[in-house]
Amino acid sequence: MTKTPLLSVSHLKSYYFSAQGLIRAVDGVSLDLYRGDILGIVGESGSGKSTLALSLLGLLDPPGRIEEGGIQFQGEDLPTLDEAGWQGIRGKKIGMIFQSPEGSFNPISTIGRQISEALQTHRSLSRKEADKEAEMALARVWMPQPEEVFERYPFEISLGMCQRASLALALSLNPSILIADEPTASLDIVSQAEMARLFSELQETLNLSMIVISHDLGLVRTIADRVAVMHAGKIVEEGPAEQVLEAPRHPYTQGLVSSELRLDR
Amino acid sequence: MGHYLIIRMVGIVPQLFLISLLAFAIMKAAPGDPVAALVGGSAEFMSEADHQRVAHNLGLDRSLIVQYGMWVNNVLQGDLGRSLKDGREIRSMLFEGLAATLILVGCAWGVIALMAVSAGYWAGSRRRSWVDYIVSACALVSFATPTFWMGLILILVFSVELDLFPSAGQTSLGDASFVDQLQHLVLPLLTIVLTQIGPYIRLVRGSIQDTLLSDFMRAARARGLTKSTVVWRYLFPNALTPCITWAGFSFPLLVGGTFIVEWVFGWPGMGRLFLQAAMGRNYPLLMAAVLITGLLVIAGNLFADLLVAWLNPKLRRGYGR
Amino acid sequence: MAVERVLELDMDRVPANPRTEIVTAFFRHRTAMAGLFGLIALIVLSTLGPSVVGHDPTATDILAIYASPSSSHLLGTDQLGRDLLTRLLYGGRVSLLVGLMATLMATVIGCAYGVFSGMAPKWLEYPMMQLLDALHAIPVILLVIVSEVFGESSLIKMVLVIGLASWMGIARMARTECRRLMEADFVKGAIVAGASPTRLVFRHLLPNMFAPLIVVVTVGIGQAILLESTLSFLNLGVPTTVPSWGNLLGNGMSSVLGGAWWTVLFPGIMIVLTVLSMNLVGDGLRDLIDPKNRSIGS
Repeated sequence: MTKTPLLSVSHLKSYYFSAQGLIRAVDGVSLDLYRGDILGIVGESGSGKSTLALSLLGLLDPPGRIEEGGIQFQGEDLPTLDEAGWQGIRGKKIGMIFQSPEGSFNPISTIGRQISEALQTHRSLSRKEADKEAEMALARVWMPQPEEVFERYPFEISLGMCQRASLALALSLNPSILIADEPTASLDIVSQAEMARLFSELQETLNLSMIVISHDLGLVRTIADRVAVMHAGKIVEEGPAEQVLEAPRHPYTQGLVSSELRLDR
Repeated sequence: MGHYLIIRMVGIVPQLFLISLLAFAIMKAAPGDPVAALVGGSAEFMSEADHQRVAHNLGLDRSLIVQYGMWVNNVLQGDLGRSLKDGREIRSMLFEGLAATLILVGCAWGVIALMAVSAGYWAGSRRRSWVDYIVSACALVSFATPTFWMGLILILVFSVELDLFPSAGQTSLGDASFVDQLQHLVLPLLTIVLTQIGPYIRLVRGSIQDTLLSDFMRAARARGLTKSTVVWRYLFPNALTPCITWAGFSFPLLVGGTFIVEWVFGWPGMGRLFLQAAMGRNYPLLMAAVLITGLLVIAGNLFADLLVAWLNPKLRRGYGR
Repeated sequence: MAVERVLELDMDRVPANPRTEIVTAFFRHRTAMAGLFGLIALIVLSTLGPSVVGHDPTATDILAIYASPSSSHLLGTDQLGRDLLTRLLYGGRVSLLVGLMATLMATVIGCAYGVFSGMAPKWLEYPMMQLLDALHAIPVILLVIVSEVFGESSLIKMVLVIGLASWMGIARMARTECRRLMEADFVKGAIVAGASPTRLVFRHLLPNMFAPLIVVVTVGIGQAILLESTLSFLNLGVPTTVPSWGNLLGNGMSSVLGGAWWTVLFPGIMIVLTVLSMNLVGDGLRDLIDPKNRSIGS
């Protein structure tokens, strides 16, 4: 393909400097995300996937830091940004949802309030306008009774609804890229399937570009266009989803795929 | 919230009961003539018949339980007895004392809250930096310092050597201006704050450190929220709620410390009255002071709990889901 | 920052003996070691010090009233000409002893109450905890002073009074730990296997509570010393013939306005150093059992 990638990571190295020693969580990772694509990053726990995700938004806190490498996005090399620069990117240009649905929200504030708060931060809206947009954002992610959920606190709704609210918030800011770090890991099977359908639909209707990080091969198989396999901080294989998941070439990928519990083989 | 309020009020009853028992026990355990204990020094000059009559009125010829009931009845009507020393009505003495104590305690609580939150935030958000070390060290030393000693040292330095602030009383003779009162307030206030603040700082610091590691803090930053929003709407409400609970819980300690300070600085509050009563074996005053102090502590406790309930939606909505 | 080795996920590493690991970790904890050192120095000073210095703590010397620190009286003298350093060292014995004994007593009572309510059925535990909470509402100073008012002052009485005023915190901690342990599988297994309550308490519950208990106890000793000094300062504590740090400060209060700063400074510093040492040790211990490891100096 000759089109330019929306996001391009080159030789990224993110390390943790702990008292016990050096942890090379991300050890020379290069990958590209193209507009309108869903890129799945798979690997087992500890492979560095989450560190990669956090690095993309500059959310890596000490003792971790980006040691080397570049992240090209809209003409900027992200690791060179200062805090103010990062704040212009986070949420507005690149959004992120996390593994823990309830953990993504402020426990003492209502769902609706938090969404409109984010909206007011990034756009000049009045409180009423922001509230209205927040409600619409909730409706867009197929939330049942969005007006009700608007008034609820995070602990009062189910995990599945919480995760959807998290997605609604991220989308309401209209980012170019959405990163999802283990979005379905905390959900039950039914919610997982719904989430997957939601992702696919959003990709179609909004032409959303996503990076989905997951250890769940089933999810990735369902929605991803391209897949990258991560192990011990490095990308061991990368390519179109079918090719990587059905006919893997790298021994690690083969091992990963074959150990997947599948009911249709 | 109403639900929580009711439960909380019910919880007060055993505390009130216990405090009243303690006060009553003091009165009963006091050596000497029980009539004098309630009527004051004039009991010596009473006739035998009057003595009998008063004894009967006090229920001294009936069982302890009845006596307790009668005493509670008296208290609820506002009769707290008379001082053994000068026969003054205890009620008015305590009333004056309470006002002075409330000024000191109120200001102390306010200053401690402000300083502890600032220092705790400063240190907690800069883990393992020199700020963190210094603040933690100060908190540790504060915790180890006896209140009365700090008072003495401050008097030594600021009153005796530097002659900056007065060392005793609430006001100077004949001068009740606001500035003068402020001057008198400085050293006692400083003493309380410096010796009590240690645990508060450590608690706030710890809570802020813990909260900073929470998932939702990271999520808030990922949304690109401004730093002030994140600190004031996300960090503080969540990190400080357990601190407020603990502050209410530790209110008795603060009151205890204030009492000592009142003694050292001659501050005319309830604490000084209490200590004078103790040293002078003035049992009626002692009993009443214990009672009122207990009430003060319970009130402070309740206030803190209500504040937390107001801040924490889980308690407001009746434990949700 | 020098980085030597890359961390390996070593699943097969056999863990070393936990007891020696804990002891080694403690010795590596800087501030805890400082605290321990302070404590040892204190104990040595209090027991051996007086014989080294040589003055008689009760010997009065009218000619040397309020003498500032000099070569013959290293820390000066008080209003009766008694050598302050000697009295300070003797006072250390009293304060340490009272603090230790009182805390011991508070620990025994507190553990008993806490473990009992932790093992008791809900209907009994609830009022017990209510009682505990209610007791907590009374400022300790109040309790202690009130108790001191009745009867004669003596060392034993002080220990009793402070001990009785301090057991509540320990009881609460003991009960929380006990409740937690009762849910543990090994305890349930022991009950099913027919362990008697005594055996349960002494072999299963108490040993596992030791860690948080020791933390509370060390800090408690510091608090007891503070209490004793406050009481003695108010002349409601140890008999006035016995020197204690609080006593010395009580005497010093009248001399402050006259400018005899040494009567006030030194006893207070001793108290602060003692309590600080105890707290540092307690903190160090707490860091060892709490994996979050938040305190300074570790």
